[in-house]
Amino acid sequence: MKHTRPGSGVDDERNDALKRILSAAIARAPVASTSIPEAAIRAYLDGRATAEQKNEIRRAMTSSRDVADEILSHFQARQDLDDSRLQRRMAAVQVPIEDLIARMKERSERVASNGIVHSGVLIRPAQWMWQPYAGCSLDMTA
Amino acid sequence: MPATACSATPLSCTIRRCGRKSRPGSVTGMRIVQLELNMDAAGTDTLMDWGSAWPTICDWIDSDPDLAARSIIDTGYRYLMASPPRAFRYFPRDRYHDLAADIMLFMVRDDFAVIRRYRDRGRSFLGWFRTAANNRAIDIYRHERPNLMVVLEPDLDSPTSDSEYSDVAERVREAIDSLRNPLCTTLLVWRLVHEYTNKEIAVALGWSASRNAEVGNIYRNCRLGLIRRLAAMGIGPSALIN
Repeated sequence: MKHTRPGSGVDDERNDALKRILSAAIARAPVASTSIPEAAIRAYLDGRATAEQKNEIRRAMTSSRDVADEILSHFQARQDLDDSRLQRRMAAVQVPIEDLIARMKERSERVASNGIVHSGVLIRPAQWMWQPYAGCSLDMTA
Repeated sequence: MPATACSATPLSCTIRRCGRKSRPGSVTGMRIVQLELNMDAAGTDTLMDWGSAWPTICDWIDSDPDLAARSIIDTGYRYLMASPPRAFRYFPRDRYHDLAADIMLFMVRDDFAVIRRYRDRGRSFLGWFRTAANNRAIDIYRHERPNLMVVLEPDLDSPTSDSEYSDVAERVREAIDSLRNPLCTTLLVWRLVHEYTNKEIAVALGWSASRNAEVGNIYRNCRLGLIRRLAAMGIGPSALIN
């Protein structure tokens, strides 16, 4: 028997609605702590976190997309290091190295001649102490 | 005691900053030769170095900035092209080279200002780099399309003034909490709000990426369970959509 599936438009609409309502629902949920002890993070990344640590970290990843993205990046980086095909893909990339070095130096000279000091860093809106460009702020109270 | 160790009690942990010459004596002629050889190997050996918590370039950015810049750009650019961070998906494929170039210039500009923010906390530099690159790509996307910010990051913190909507949200939360599988909240939010793929969810859970189909099955059951519970509470599609 052939099943009739709802049109993708209906499903998309319902997904959008669920997304909005979930966003609102988690906004009202008790805010998970985003200041996670470094030891718990490393244990999670190493696959040796306790059930309590797992829950704590996953709650933080649910409350904050920045936290989730950073944990995910660490996992993906680890997978990449174990990926034997990555080496071949990297070797095939043409890097415009001289052009980039020239652009870097050109900027340095421009900044130096203008006497402008730039921090060069865009600080993202912080949801967490664990800032992407700064690394985490270790929870010293842990 | 090496300063990498934040695995001991936090208070005894010394955190090294990239470029602070906290490993004196490690930059030798031997290291220079080694780095040059690594660069010849198309950045892949250097990538393994980046898998450590204290990559060689952290010593190099003060002792030999030119070589450090070349190594960082070469390895980082290749890595971003070979394994693009997730925010690259918001751009067309033909923008990837521009993005990689922008990100690498961002990393090395102003005397490595961004790289110097890296702290050795015992995790891999590569993971930090990937996060920073991803965030830079998001910043570029936001800058180019400020009106689409909501797609990237739903506003989770702003309470609505609509009390009815607020009531529905509260009941939805109860419905989610009542789902039997404890992973449901996580999966529903990561899929629908964070817009992670099943493979990304598997990875973020610390599972193998090959368990993506399992994630998909659990997610579907959670979603169905949520819709049924909402329906039982009298919250139908119209309440969800309006």
